[in-house]
Amino acid sequence: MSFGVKIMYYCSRAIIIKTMDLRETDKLVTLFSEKEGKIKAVAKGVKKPASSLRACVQPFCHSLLFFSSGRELDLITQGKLLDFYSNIREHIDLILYSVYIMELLDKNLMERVSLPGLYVDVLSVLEYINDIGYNPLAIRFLEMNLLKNLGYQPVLDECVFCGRKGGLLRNFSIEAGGTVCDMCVKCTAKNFPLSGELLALIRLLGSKNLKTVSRVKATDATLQQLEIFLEKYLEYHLERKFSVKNMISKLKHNRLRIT
Amino acid sequence: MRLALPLEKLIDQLLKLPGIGPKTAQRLALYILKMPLEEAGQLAQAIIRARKEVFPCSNCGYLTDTDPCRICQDQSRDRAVLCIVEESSDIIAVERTGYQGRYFVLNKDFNLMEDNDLEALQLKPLIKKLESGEIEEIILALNPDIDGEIISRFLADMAVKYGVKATRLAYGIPVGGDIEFTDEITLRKALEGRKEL
Ligand SMILES: [Zn+2]
Ligand SMILES: [Zn+2]
Repeated sequence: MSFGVKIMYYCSRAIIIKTMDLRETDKLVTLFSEKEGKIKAVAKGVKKPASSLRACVQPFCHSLLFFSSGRELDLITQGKLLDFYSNIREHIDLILYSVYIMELLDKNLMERVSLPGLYVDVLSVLEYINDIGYNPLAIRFLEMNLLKNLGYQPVLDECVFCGRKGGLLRNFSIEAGGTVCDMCVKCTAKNFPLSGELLALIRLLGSKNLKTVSRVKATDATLQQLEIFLEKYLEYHLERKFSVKNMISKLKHNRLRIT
Repeated sequence: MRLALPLEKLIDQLLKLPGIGPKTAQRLALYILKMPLEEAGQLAQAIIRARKEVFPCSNCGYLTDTDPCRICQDQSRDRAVLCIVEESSDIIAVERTGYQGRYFVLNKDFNLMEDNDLEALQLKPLIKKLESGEIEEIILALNPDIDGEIISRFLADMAVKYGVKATRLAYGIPVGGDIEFTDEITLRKALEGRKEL
């Protein structure tokens, strides 16, 4: 029963970012919806064994969800699972990379800002990892497109300080968000050195689709540089540390401290 | 209208409990006010006593008032099988099945997305057990969600390094459940884990 408050119903496809326990059998679900962007909504009774919603609200599932607007939080009323990415769930490293993608979305997206382009990118990366397996370029592709969609697209074809086109661009200013020419590099500090291969790869990440990007052959050294570059760029502009990324690297290098 | 201050304080305390909302807190507080004073005192005493005298077993992490706990002291239990659970309450559930091995409780809220780390799990006691050569199998009985999955796979990898077999609980349809209404993930897992009759 409501007085004057109109309940709105809507539906959208969505990627589940994370869930948190709420009252007894309810969960608070953070999700990235195609139409509404990131939202938080309540899934009632979802911890009961018979709940039909349960499968639809598992982290990094792709689901079609039906909502009703509430006074504070919207309610998920019904759902249909579209993809569960079962191969990802068989491998700890794939799970961790997928959780990392969810962490990127969780920590950086504003609520109720629709980003349909990014939505398609996230889906394509999850599908890629599920069907083909881990590829560092798929993760870098998503990091770059996240930056692009949030308004931090780097300047890559001219000097970010003097605007000079052509000539060699061998440095990148993380703070200014663009390449720096050899003249300007003398009067700016803290530049990230770029090899020709690295610059070409960065340009590709922001302009081509995942299918093209994933086929690129790059040396391990360049891939590593690219990872460090995007890490610094993300951390500077979005001002966040990513715990999952940190743990992946500890696991990979056997640096986990057991206490 | 304001409530009497002591009543308000009691409600505030009850509100801190999980799953208790303002209405329930108020109802419980009013109920406590109607209790004979002696009974209310017993309730307060029981809370303080439990809080003071119960602690995690140094060997397995189960909540106990003797160290090691009664399960660890029980010589008739199988030392070669170790069931790994998230919380003491899970032990209570597994005990009801008649399981005769021992336990290890992780006793730690692990939520990867909330900036937690596998390092926070305090696994040294578990590693010591794996090193001892006494254990032949660990049974991973963690909640079947993403965090449980990550920890299970991590611990299974670790066990294998010590030559210990790692198993996990099967996924399945609840007894008395209805296949028609079972979600597709559970159903698929149940199909994968099917048994020959
Ligand atoms: Zn310049
Ligand atoms: Zn014990």
